[in-house]
Amino acid sequence: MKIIGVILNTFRESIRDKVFITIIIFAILVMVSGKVIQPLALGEEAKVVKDIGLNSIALFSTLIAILVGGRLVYKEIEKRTLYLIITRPIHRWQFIVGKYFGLLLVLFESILIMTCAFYLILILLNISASLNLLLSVLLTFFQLWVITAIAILFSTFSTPITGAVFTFALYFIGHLTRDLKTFGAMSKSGLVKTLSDIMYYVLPNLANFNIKGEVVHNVTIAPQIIVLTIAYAIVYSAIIVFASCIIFQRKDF
Amino acid sequence: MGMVIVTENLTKDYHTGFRAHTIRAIENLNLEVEVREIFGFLGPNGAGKTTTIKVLVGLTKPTRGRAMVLGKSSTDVDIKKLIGFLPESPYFYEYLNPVEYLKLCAQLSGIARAEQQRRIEKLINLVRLERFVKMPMRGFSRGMLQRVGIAQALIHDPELVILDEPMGGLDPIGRREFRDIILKLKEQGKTIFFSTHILADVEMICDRVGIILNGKLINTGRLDEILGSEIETFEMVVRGLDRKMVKVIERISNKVIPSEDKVLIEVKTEEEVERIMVIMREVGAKLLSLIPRRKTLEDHFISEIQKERLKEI
Ligand SMILES: Nc1ncnc2c1ncn2[C@@H]1O[C@H](COP(=O)(O)OP(=O)(O)OP(=O)(O)O)[C@@H](O)[C@H]1O
Ligand SMILES: [Mg+2]
Repeated sequence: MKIIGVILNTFRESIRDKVFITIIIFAILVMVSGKVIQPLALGEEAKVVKDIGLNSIALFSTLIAILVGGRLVYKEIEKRTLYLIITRPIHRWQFIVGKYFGLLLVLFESILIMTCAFYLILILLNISASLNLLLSVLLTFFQLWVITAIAILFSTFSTPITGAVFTFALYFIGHLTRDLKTFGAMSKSGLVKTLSDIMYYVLPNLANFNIKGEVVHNVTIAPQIIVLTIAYAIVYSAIIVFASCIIFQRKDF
Repeated sequence: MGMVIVTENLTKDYHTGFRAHTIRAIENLNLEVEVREIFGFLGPNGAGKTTTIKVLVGLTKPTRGRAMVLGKSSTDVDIKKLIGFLPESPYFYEYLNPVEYLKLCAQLSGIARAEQQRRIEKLINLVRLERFVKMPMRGFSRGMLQRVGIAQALIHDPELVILDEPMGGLDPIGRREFRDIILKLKEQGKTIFFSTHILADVEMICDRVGIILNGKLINTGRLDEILGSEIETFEMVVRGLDRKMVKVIERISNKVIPSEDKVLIEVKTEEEVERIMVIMREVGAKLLSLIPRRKTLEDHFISEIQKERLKEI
């Protein structure tokens, strides 16, 4: 199928990109550094190593999504390589959707490599590596569905730097939107209430994707929460990718 | 006869800058290109050739008017598998080699997997890139990229080929090979539309040309219609004329250029040629050559552009 061509080419482009390899190597170095500061954490060594590992996977894969994803469409417009793709029998939306899933494939591979490295470190340090940790990695991956969609949306109309700044901003705000709703609920002003409500639904709500603390401390998480969070990621990113397709469809080159 | 490209009052405005400043890149363009025709689209820099082509391949939407290609709107996705397109100074994914790239193009154009390899080999041979098939295109020269561009435009065996300055960056051998490719395509029943500002290329292979200037189509037609088939001037080269005789001949022709032992004479009519021949016979001079010259496309092109510029003033 044609869309597979775009997906695989995006994958091939990204893994031949130096940024991608650099970030992965750096992530593994950071995970190993957990071993160095381990003696400082009295009696909590295992938790520190797990904490650093899970956070590195989340942070560095997000970096890949933003730095590589933010350039994906822009670079094609800038270098005019896309002229020769969208003048073939392929719909413009197929191009965007192909780019999106291509990048998700890259992120899946990155997370796979980093997670393998993480488990290897745990085994080498003789730390019990429960499969529970994988739940957190799974949610990190679905969080990337949202981040990647946002990165691609910006990529269709702004420069990579502006796009990266805004995507980062949304990533950080995204972890606070739940607090925003609580704050709005406390306010007496109706306007503040409505505004915070609107922002709560429009902005990505990323706090639910962060269950690192819970899995590190072996707190059980209700399966419904996991399922709902994944469903949220799929719906939210579908809407954003849809918006990107509409913008891209109307574009003049 | 079937029309492959039809544009009706095609107009495209670009909006630039912070103020509502508009540039009218093309204005009320009415073009018709017939099936199995080689159509040359001529114009100086900034005339609107690339803009027209971008509309024809669906990269840009017209501000006004419409463009029909192969009987459908130029933005229709279904007709794209019948169109081959080469953009101006093309650029490709630099991390791919030509074979990987052509494979991607074939795949996107819906060529069956079994067929892909055969088409790729054929086109690599056609554009003579055999030596570079394993090299990432990052290191390609301008002419090599142009060759990849021609190959990708033909990979899906299209009915209509639209090329924006296809000879750009090609060396003389490359240009010749390209002309042969175009003529072969015509033989196979394809239609070719290409833009250029190199007139010699057009004169050699085009059935019809369109001349665009400042976004307006100022002339279209068969080359012999535009240029006229009648002879404009005769060029004579004569040996054995002395200075005195040269003076006499200068009264008949206003262009007499003596060099060491020969004289070049340009005259307008056959009758003038006769008169000079009579003088030559009297003094025993010898005619080395007599060449009738038609108006060239270049003459026509330059005079059209001058006419337009005068209108502006
Ligand atoms: N994207 C754009 N934004 C603004 N103006 C544009 C754009 N593209 C083209 N133009 C303007 O439209 C006019 C026609 O440009 P076009 O590229 O079609 O010319 P051309 O005939 O292809 O020239 P050349 O022989 O140099 O390639 C020019 O005045 C140009 O400045
Ligand atoms: Mg041009």
